[in-house]
Amino acid sequence: MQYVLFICTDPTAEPYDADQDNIEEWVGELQKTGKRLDGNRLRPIDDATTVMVRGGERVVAAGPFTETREWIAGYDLIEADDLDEAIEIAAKHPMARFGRVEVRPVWPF
Amino acid sequence: MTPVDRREGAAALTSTVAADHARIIAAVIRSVGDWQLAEDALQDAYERALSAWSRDGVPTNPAGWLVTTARRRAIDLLRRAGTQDAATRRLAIELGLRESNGRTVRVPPNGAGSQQPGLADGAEADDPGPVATGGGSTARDPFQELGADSGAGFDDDRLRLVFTCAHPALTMEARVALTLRTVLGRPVAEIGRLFFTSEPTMQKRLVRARAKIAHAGIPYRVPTTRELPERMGGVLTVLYLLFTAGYSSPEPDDAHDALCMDAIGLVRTVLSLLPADAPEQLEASGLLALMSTQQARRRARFRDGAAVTMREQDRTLWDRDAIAQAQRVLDRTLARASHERMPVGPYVLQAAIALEHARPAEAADTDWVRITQLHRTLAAVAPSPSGTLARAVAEGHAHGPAAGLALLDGLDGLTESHLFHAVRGELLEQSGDRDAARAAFLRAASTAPSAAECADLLRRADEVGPPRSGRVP
Repeated sequence: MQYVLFICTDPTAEPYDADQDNIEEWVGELQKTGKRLDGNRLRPIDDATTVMVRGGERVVAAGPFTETREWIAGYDLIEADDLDEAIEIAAKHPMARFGRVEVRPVWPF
Repeated sequence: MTPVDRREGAAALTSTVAADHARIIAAVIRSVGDWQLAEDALQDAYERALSAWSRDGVPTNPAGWLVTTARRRAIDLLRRAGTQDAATRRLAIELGLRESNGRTVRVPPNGAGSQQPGLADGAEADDPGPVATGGGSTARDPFQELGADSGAGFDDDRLRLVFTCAHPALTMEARVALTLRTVLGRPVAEIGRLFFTSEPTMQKRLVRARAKIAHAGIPYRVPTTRELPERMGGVLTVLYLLFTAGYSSPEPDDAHDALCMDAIGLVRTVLSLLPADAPEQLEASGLLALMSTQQARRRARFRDGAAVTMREQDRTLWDRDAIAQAQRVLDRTLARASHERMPVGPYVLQAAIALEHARPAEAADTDWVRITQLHRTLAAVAPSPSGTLARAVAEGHAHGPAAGLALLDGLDGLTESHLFHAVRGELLEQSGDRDAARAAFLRAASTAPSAAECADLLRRADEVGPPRSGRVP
């Protein structure tokens, strides 16, 4: 099964510590096993643009679609046998400590 | 097989379901992969059994018959769905190649390996269905697995079901409801009553929970030894909630009693899974001792529908053998914890408290100082409002009512509970403040959950005595 890991910030989590950030190791291990299919960081919400079409008219707004103290800072698309393996992978991501990770199963068309 | 009357057929179905539901649903889930499909197909099979068994007689292997019929129903349901996905899933069931977690479908290179389900009684099901037939079967046949033997495989099935039902990705309510339905085969209406909701609402919640198992890819298996520590706590919580659902019923009857016994049975099964030296043994053993002690007092806990306080219970109704056995489990657990210098958890402490209460032959012999010590340790390890309430009673007995009342002052969240005011009334009565005690018992009575408990609290208000003379209201 494929899962998307939404890497989220969380003000209540451990403060970020660059020395403890082993993201290269995390990515490297998953690349080796072929379990990580894609993934990127995302620019901060200041750089976000929200687009809507309302009554046939295009509305473009600066910023994210909700005001929030937490936002998605990155994503990873992984292949896992089941939810337990996806949880295992997510728990090893450094942002599970410095933020939190939402595990969402992909819903294929 | 010879025809039997309808009542006999129904009785055979009831006893098969009571004895074997977990094994049957486990076999169907293994075969069809999807929990909802398995549930729907098995319900159909139960209905068919009612008429078929009355007409043709009860099969020699009723459980096998049900599994085979359910599997055919699943194939039928998928055929009717008519989608590509359903066709793929149907093929997988027909080939008997579904993986245990129900996600992966592999077609063998030679295209063989299909099997004919229902080699014995099952073949006589009233819905033969165009099941794929073929040469010799190499795949696992759930029907054959359901032979007369109900040994180790039975526990394996129950454990797989329990760990999937208790998966942390499900809400706590969904975990308990799903365990009641799938592992214990309880009717949806009964589960609804336990959660104070209607049958259709509970049905919807169960459907949603099964959908999450399928969509999120929750595996159908017992966690690995490495995963067990983080999964064990959640499973024990679910099992204790099952027990509490049966135990706290204001109308104790056979169904609730059976629920308590089933919960105890599941704790034993989970214990048997753990290696003897696993640290999780401690809490699981503690929970077993706790439940067994509570269950041993069940016949004395209610009188005319009202809960009887421990002090007023008729102790000759307690099951002394069960209490002694629970004590041995606890003693072993505590000895091991102290030998290996491991901290004891909340279930062990609650079991120790329950056994301190259960051991003395007379309520007057209760060692309240010891119970207070245990409560203090419990409050440090796992603070909870209901724990504080019980501790206030103990402190009141051990160190005077003022100590108990002081603890209650910090319990703002419980002021709507009749238990809070009943405990307060008891402590105030001890302190000699009769007017306040009366008022507390009356307030408790006004929020009591049942008429019987209300009457009982009014009696206690009455027993405090009349208001002091000379007091002008």
